[in-house]
Amino acid sequence: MSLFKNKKTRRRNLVLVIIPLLILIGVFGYLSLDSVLNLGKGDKVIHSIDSMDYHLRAGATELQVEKFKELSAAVNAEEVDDSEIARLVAENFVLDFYTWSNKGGSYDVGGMYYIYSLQKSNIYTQARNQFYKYVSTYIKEYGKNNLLEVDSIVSTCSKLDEGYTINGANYDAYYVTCDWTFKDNDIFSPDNYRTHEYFVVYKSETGRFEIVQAFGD
Amino acid sequence: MKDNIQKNKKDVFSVITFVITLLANLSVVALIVLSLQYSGLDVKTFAGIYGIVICLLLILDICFFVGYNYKDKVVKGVTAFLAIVLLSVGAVGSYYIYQLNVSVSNIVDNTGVDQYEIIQGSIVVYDNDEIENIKDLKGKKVGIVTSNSVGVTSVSKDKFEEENVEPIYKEYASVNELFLALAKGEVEAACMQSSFRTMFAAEEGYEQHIELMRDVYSFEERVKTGENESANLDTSSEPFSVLLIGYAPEAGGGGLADTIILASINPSTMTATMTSVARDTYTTISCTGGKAKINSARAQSRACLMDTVGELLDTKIDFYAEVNFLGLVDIIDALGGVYIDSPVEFVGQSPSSLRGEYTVWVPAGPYHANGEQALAFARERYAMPNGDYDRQIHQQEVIKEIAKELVELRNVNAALAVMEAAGENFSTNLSIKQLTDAFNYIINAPNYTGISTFNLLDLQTMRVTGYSSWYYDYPMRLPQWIYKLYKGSIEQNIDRINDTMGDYEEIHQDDYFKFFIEYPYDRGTLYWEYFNEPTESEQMPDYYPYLTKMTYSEVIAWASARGIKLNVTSINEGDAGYDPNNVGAVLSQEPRYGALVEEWPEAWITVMGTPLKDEDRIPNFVNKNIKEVHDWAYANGYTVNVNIQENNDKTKGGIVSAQSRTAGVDKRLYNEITVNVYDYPFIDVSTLVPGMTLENLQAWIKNNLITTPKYIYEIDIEKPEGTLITYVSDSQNPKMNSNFTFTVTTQVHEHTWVELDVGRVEPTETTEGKYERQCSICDLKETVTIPKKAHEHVWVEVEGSRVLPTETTEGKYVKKCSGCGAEEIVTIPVLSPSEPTPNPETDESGGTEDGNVTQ
Repeated sequence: MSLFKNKKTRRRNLVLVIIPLLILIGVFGYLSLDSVLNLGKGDKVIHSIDSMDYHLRAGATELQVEKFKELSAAVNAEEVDDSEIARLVAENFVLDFYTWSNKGGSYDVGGMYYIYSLQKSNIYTQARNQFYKYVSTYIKEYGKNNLLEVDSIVSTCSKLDEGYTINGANYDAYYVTCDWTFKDNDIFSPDNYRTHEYFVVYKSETGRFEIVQAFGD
Repeated sequence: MKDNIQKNKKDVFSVITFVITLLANLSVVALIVLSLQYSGLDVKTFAGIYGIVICLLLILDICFFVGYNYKDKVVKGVTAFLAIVLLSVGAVGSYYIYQLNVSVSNIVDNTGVDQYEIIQGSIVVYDNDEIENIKDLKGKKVGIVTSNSVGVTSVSKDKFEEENVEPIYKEYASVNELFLALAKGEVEAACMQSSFRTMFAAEEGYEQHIELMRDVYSFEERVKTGENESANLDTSSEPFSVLLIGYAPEAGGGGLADTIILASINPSTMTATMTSVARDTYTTISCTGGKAKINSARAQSRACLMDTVGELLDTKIDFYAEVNFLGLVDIIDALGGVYIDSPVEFVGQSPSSLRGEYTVWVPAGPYHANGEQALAFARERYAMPNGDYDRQIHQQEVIKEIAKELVELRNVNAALAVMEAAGENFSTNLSIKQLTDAFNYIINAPNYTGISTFNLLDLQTMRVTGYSSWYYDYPMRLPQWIYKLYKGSIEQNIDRINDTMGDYEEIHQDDYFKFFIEYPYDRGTLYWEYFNEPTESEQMPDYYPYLTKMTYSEVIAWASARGIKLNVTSINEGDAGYDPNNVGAVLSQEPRYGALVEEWPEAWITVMGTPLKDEDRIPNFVNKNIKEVHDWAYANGYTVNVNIQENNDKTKGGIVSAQSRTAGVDKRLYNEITVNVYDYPFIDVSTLVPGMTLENLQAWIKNNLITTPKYIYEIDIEKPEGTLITYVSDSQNPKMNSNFTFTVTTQVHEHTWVELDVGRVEPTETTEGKYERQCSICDLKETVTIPKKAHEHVWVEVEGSRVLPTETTEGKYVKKCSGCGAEEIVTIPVLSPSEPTPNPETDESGGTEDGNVTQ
């Protein structure tokens, strides 16, 4: 150990040896702390719009990322266009909800950030017992990559003149029509699924846009 | 000298630092090794902590090496400091992890594929001093419970074999039968589970038998009960089922399972279904093949209960998790309590006391309950509006709450306290890896919903529903309340379990999703409470009720209805124990509740106070005719109110089905009585056809009408040979008790008699004759009497009685019938003057036969 023989250089060398270990400790510490803090909070999100509490899941498709960024831009624009935000909220919901290929199972229902907060739990339960009921089975049998994925989406939006009334209070609301396509899929034929849906998005007292109705023809 | 002291100090410091460094290394390594089995809980966190600790150890060891090789004071100081810190962390951490491991090893059965169970049993004799130990049972009759799996029976047999004792085994279908066989002396010893005394202690009349039973051999054996095919199941990806068993051995549970819930869990869908099975469910016990309450299967073995539930719900049960209720109290307390929502306020059973001691108050409504309150809430059924149904739901709610608290538990001390409480009272054959994998999967499941992790778990609560029934346990001479399951409910639960396990019969994928917040989603009823199925009931014999829960009057009525001779002992004023406020109460009975009436035609009771005389009691009118009620009411100044009950049974018309005043009660207390009486059924008048003969009409009346004085009929006829012309009733749709008037024709022809050619008897002078004749028109037959024949006298003159007539006086003589002895005086007319006096001896024409004398 000639590194430490020389009294003059010993402590310097010792510090040099210890520093990488301390850095390692820091890395491990960060990982542990991060893991502990996020325990039970699920996977990390890759983008967030904190003011609206909208988040983009890890594993989101490119189209999802693109549309989420558009939503983020709309929310943060200098001149906020509520109609545009409402349209993008509906689109982001469709992209996450109707894409199964990045889901963990039947319980991992997409698009929940955009749902009316006060009934989120109820709508979540409905979704996992209906459209998402067999997702876990599909993942097990066919693998995630072979499941449904929204490939493209277009939408239109118009403001509801009469607004939307919840518990006697009237709010601004928007009527959004979405049309989308699924990626080609040999197992889940896109022909078996609807690709057109209407949404009512309302603007809450806090300024958050939430979907209160979703329905087909 | 000073240098030496200084040197010695340095040496001591060096040695201490060396030792601390060494211990720090050892303790940290121990901490890592001891905690490795929990790394599955959160691999990232554990990897990070292990990395930090290993880096610190490296720094310590490098410092130690440098400091002591090159005698660098500063480095030595850093080494000592670091060593102390790491030693503290390692030692304290290892201690806690060790404690945790002790608790975990108590909980988790880490035996892998082989499943073991502790079987506790005894070989018991009854009132027998001659048999002192197991060896004395050679060649003797020993009773065992028929069983096809490992349990008390198989272990007992092994013990006999080990002791080289060959008894004569006699098999019984249940432990109840075995108990009584021993008491009756059918066998000289019985192989029973250790808990049998607690089991039977609650049964009336068994205490004296238990006191005479003595263990001659006891065992507690850990035996292999089977293999766990799910020992290597991956609980983070494959569906699995766990049988949750709750029992209370010290609280009079007798080793019976109080709570039976099958939890079916599918990690990939984050779905779980808890299916409650009522503990009194009457079903086939897997290991004995006989039918009994399902909770008794646990007394055989845990494996027996698992197999029984598995067969009932047609599902493979992978694991068990068994909790002693006493431990549940500590677990809930360690969690800081749980939220409950009781529909009623009640004082429930204390977990630490024997059955019947109720000291735990539970308020109505949402409440943060401690362990005792939560347990009382989960066990209470008597105070609940829906009885056992509510209890099962509450058990599931408490389990849900515990699971919720566990998932959200972040406090290390609380976690350790929970583990410590669980260690003594909780056991499972899930391995620690399987437990941590499942837990890890749940808490780390992707969650992009903004909903709490626990709520991602779709936890559904189900129950297998059925109906109350009874069966009579002949060996125990006791009626037993049982719960019979609807077949439809069993199938519904099986479907739900299969659904949870991802075993779908068919997949019906929706093509899109819609919702409206105005119409919140309603999942609908997961299970039905009632099924339209014919209920099966067991044949119940007539048995003694709790006479001590009846009044003396009720006992009288009950006994008289059965013809039971009642022997009554009264405790009267002045006697010890006399209570004027309790007069009429039945204090004791013999035979006991459940005894068969046919075996006990005589009963003995003790009554408080002098009983009433029979004539002062209201009689038992049930099954009697309403006429009797009216008669009695009239005689006793009572008013009778009659409620008519619908009825189609001819035999029940007018019969009393219930009475408002209890039979046997002092009649002087009331002046009115209400009785429910079976209505008289409607009658078929289509058979009343004009022209039917009177004979047929009378037969019809006999079959269809009530002819008691209250309900009359009239036949308007002049001669009984008529036929029906018409009838009038007091109702268009008459019943058996309707009033009828029948109009019948008068006779319609003069009979033309023809004597029948048989049986004619001619009359004599002393007897009447007879003959049969028949009308040639209507075939009416009758017997005609012929009067006796008249008597013809044969007269003979009585010798010496003749007086001859003269011209002035008549003569006479006496004649007598030679047949009947009758006598008559015959007058002879006076003679004319020219006529000579007749000589009776020569004059043959002097008189007539009738005494008149011809001129």
